[in-house]
Amino acid sequence: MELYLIRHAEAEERSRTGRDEARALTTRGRDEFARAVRGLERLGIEFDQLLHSPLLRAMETADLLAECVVGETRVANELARDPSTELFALCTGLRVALVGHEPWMSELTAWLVTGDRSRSEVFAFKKGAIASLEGELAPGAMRLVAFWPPATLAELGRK
Amino acid sequence: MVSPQNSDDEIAPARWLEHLTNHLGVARNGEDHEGVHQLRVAAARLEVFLRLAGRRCLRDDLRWLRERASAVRDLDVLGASGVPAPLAAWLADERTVARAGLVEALESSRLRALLEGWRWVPALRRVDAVERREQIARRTTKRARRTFDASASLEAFHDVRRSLRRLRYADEWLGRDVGELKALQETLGLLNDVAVAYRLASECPHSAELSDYLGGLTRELDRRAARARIELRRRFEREP
Repeated sequence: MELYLIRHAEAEERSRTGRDEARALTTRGRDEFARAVRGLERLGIEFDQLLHSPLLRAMETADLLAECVVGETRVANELARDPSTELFALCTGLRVALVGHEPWMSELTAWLVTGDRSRSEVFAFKKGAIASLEGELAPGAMRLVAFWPPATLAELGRK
Repeated sequence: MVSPQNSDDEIAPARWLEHLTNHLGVARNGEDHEGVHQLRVAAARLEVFLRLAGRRCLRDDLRWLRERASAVRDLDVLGASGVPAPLAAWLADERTVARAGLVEALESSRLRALLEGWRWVPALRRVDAVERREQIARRTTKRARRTFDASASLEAFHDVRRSLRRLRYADEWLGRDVGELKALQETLGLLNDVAVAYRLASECPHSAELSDYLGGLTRELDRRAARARIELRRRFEREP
């Protein structure tokens, strides 16, 4: 399968309510990630399934990816906590996107690529970064195909 | 977190979110059929809220929940309408399966995540809602016109029924009068009840014994479609 791990785009420092979960994307984060999505489209990337964390900044990032989704979008609490095999069970597509948070995106990438989640610092995600993996969805069984910082995809998506 | 009150500029989802959560328990225990219906209508209204907000996330999750509830509701409605004995027995078995699917959904991590996500959906800007409501209205008019022809398919009526539902709920969120839309929706709902009855009776393994019943449904479908066409034409013929 193809797996795309995506960290949410840049979010405001503080929400209106003060709750971390309610932090929305900034205008800059939204604009840059929208360009990054156009970059994905230029690469011909589509998702059969998109899973996202229930936190607002992840939902708003997932909203921006809607054009790339040809299948179902699903909310998953498993993307707002330590990576687990329960998350793998939710991935039923052949081209799946996961939108979540640090440090869990790094841990998940390290776990899937090396089998060792403690090596997460090697795969640190900037906000809006996307890692592309291929292979069997199991610890140590996936291959890192690409790791795009947001600016690279945004540049590709520039008109 | 969601704002508890509407303001002049913003619309909060709190009322229907609360309605949804208040009916989860009733829908789960299954003693009152109304619980499943209320769960379904709350999910539909929240789905329209997201459309008005231009948000894509959580819509598929709401649709998933609504489909599980609808599977039970359709069987409840038909089962209570005095159907022939072979069909009634099959409907009862099907309902057991559909109820199990609904209970599974109501106990699932997906529902917990859906409710968690809703905690952080902000209020909707009225100005955005008004603009997107117009898009829904234009789509509804377009779909309604497809039913004006006497050869229009049941699918065409189904499409306009869904659009009308969205338009009515959009107007509800905006605090507008929905009397006319509600009446039209009811007319199309009556047509849909017969369409669902026909589909389920056709799927029944005893359908060979139901030819008289199916024949009656076919005649009723024609009658109700003609009635719906007149009302849709009256309402939408002059729309720009």
